[in-house]
Amino acid sequence: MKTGRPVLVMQLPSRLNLSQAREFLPEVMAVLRNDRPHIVFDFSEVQQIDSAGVEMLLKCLERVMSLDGDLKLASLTPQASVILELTRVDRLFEIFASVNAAVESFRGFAARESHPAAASAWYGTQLPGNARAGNERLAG
Amino acid sequence: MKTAAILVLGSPAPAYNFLASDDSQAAGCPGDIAGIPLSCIEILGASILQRTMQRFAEAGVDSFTILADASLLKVIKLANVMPGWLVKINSFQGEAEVWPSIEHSLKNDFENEISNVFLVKLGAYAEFDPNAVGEFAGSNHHSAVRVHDRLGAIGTWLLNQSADLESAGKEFQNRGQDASIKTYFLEGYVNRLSRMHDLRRFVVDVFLSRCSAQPQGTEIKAGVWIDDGAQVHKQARIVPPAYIGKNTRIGPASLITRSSSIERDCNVDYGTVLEDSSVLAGTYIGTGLDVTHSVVCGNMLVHLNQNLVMEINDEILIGANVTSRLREVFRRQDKKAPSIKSIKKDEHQTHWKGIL
Repeated sequence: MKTGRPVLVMQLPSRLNLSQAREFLPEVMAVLRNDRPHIVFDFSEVQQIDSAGVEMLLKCLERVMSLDGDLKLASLTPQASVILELTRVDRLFEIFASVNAAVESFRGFAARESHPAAASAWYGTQLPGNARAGNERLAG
Repeated sequence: MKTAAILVLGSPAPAYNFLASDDSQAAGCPGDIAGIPLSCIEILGASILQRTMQRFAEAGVDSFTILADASLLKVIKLANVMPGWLVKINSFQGEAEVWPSIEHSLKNDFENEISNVFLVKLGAYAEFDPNAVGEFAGSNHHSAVRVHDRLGAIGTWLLNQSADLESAGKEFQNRGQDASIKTYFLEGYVNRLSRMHDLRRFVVDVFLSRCSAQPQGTEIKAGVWIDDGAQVHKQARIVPPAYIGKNTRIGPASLITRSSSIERDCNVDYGTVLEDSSVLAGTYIGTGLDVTHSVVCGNMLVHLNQNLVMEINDEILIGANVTSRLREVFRRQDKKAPSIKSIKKDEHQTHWKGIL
């Protein structure tokens, strides 16, 4: 599966606190007009992030999901990574080591390229053959 | 035969931080918390200083002197280090004054008919029998003995009246070992507490009975210690081994697991998971968080897996516990201290209840 939609990469500010989040959120919302937006947040300069920053991420994700798009995170700094892990938000996003990898992931099946193990698990449960086998087991 | 102990608490400046190895410095993990040495911070209900004094007292040491850097005395309250004990507290100003003040205390002790003095440079937690060191020195007629483990000196000496104080001073100031001081090898448990990883290792070692130290409080079920006044919600789950300190509150739906410890006056809010972590005293942990492989103290989080020290200036996530801060405010108001507003300014110095 290939997609030709443009991928928008947005650089996040170094301090993702309440005031910065308030400035950044309208910028993101302004570009979220088209259907199925593909967005990558570049965290490479983020040194500080607080609960307002996390809330801003969740608002963006909610908006993108409502438009059938996807929001991915790339180049997380250790500080950002710890906060996302602390607030359990890391599991809501696909996270990539570099912006290029995140952009590339939109070109094909995201699960296969970002996480081979996750991709195989997905196929294992979703393929008709497996589903049939599962049903048979349940019936037995 | 009287025995005394002089415990030296240096400031965390590199000159005193002789136990911090080069690799720990490179890893970026601190051996202190905002300038306070780990030996002064409560771990499982008691600090290393308190545990060391307890060990010496059990071995019959009569007199205790604590020598601390004057800047450290502004932050920590040594007056109530051991309630009910008679402890002399002296201070020194900077590195140059350390040995002269030790020498003064030693001479003072020897004049008061004390025959043996243990000189302890606090930092490491070491389990040894002080009487065995005394017997080793006495039977071999050694006037000065240093205590070693397999990795080297642990910063403890036994000196008697005929000891050469000049050579002891040279060794104390890390200017090489002197042949006149003999070595006593200990085989017991030693934790050098030179960085945060060692703090977590100490907690796990205590839980797994790898050393003789015990958490304070009551073991309410196998591997779960709860101290006085702690409140654990009935919907919270505590997986042994774990320690909950005095007046700490564990909120509903929270999970404390994998050898986690929470010191006194903390508040762990709704639905938060603490895994392989230690929360130092007076800390608030917000709602629905996942704290793993970390040491948290006030608004500072040390992530041990990533060797990362972070200051999180968001009290929704972590910060000083409000109740402990209020208690501090009331205590200060009792002493006719300035208003609450002015206390808030230096709250980073006052909110940590885990320091003495």
